[in-house]
Amino acid sequence: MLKRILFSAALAILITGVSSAQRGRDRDKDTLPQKTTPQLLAAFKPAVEKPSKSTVSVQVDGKQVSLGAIVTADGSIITKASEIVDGKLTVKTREGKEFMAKVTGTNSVYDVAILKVEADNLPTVDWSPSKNAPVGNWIAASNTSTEPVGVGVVGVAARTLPPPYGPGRVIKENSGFLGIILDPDSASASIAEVSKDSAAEKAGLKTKDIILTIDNQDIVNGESLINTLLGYKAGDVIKVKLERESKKMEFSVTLGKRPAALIPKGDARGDMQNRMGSILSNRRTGFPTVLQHDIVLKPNECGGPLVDLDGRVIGLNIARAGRTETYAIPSEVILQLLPELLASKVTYTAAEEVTEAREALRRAEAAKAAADKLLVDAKSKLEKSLTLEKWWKDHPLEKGPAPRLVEKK
Amino acid sequence: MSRRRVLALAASLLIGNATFADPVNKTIPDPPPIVYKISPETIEELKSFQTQTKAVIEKVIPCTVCLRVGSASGSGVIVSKDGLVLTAGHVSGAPGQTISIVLHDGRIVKGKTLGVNRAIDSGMAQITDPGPWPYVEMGDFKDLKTNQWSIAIGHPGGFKQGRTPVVRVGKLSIVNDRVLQTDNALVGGDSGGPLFDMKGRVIGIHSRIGNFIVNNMHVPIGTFRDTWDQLVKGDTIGESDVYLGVSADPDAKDCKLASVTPNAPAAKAGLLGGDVILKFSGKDVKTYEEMKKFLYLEKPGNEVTLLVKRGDENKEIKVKLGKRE
Repeated sequence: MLKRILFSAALAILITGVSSAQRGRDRDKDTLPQKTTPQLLAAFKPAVEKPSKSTVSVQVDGKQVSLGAIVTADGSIITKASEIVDGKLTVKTREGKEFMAKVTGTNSVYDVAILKVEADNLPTVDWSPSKNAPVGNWIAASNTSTEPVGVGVVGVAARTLPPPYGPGRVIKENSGFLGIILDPDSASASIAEVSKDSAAEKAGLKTKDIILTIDNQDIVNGESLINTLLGYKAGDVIKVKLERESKKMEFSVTLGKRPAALIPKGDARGDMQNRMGSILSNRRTGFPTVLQHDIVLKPNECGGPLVDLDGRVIGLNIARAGRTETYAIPSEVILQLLPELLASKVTYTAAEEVTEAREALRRAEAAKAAADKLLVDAKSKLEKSLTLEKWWKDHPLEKGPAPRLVEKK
Repeated sequence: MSRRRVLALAASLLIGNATFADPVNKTIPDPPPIVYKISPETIEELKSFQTQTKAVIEKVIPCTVCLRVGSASGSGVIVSKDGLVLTAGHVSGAPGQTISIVLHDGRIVKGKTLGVNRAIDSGMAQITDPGPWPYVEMGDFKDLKTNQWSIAIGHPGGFKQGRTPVVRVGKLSIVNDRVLQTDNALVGGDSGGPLFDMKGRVIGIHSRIGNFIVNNMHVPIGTFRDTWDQLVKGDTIGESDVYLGVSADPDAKDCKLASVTPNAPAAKAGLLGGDVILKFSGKDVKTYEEMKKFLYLEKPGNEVTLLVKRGDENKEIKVKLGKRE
């Protein structure tokens, strides 16, 4: 098994104490990098001045779930889709204006959604090409205030990640299993070894074969192959196109069952390290094109504009993806996605309107019940105090302070 | 499906990859004064800082490599024209192994591992294909100060085709002759990668992480200079199979233990997480690193006496040291 050397287990335990990872969970996980001083954040104020006016806080039941960027003056806002959970959806601007919002369009590949609010004359984001911000440039994540929510540098310029795209896939017990070992020194999905009695061996796959497609889905490298196969179950029959000695061939493979020993228990090691020091977005993989930076954002601080020193919006923060990385969708991609996203009219069916109204009524009734209880309690306390007061007046010979019903804390 | 986590990925996926001019003889301009301040405070200062960051990156990215040692991989940096590579000891491992070295643009060249210092986690390798190679200057340990700005580069998660080595900017928070700590966030795969000052000189090699985003440890450049000849020769230094079984509290300034491994010699002797070691066989211990130095002078089976502070009380605890498997 090709283990990536991460930080050697022995060393880490010896020196910094990986075993104290557990301990870390009890403490504040939101520790900021020490470079993020008040002076540094303040230095970015002119850069975020304009973009922050087009930044909104997206809230569900009054709690921020993400940031968003205003894309049309009449109230269309782009944000991270998967953070929007059921509940009362509102957005709040830098000026403090609050609007009810509805999701009118989504793109699951990039995990973005368009929210629509009833408004006009909202200040919109001006998108600027991300090539304006090369590796090493300072960047800031704008917030609904005069200062950014975080600052950092571009770590990797915009790049295309290997397919498949969309929500992440995980290894499960019934995941389909091919039974090959890939060549780590090859740039493509090249087979180094075919395991004995595996699905691959039965189908006739051989060492040095380069896998090109699976069911017509492009396989550009090992990572792409692994993630594509995770979409299949044991017993599925797949069509594998490959190259053998410069000849293209096609095979039909019935996938086997993943051996129990190869099903990771809990977090894989790399994942555990990636979770150390910050909280990651739930959806953090499967975006076709991303710009990578080192701003430490919380999951509910994604979805808003990424800004350079000249105040240009070069992308939309889309995920806290690991200990060293936050991903942004470059402006170029956002501009490509917007026409379709804005055109899609999600019309609510009558049934959905009824459900929503019922939900609102239920929330109002719950609030009323809580208020009623407060009222009853207050009335009962008043009655008891009056009784006590009367008793005190009727016994004028008693000395000392009047007894209290409730002890003062 | 393969058991292997594959690191070699396909080419030509870039949409906006930076290109780098021939860096062999590239010089980095002297940094502007702002990089020596605690923080830029205006957009102009940020821009001046940024210009320097980019000058450093342009020079050093082509010198940053990925090392594939057997079935494992980490990062490294080229420090000489003929291809000497600094890395972490736990990346290069045993001296004399044949390895693959992946350059920043995905080209793969051959190499071999040289010396290793297992105690401090420094390591060296040599590119064996003919050069010349682009290389970086080495910094001087005595120039390092806490709060100074630093740039980390490496291959977090392993080499990924189409991704240039990943850049992070941060600051030094701990500087001593055993370890540097920064807020340049690191993760698995970065091990062995370079930490630079704002002049583009390598000042540390990524080694390990703690729980928080601010706990990123690097081997200081000074130890490479101090043990240079031994590392070049392919010696193994600082090897110790002695086993105590404790871990350090990364936030403590003294030798406070975060936890004790169950059934390890320390646990059997009665040490507990939270204990602070004050003396090791009569010798004063100020830091965990210092305690480790004394520990590595011992042999498995030796009995040592630890003076330990637990709460308000000092205790002497005798520990019979074990052997690391």
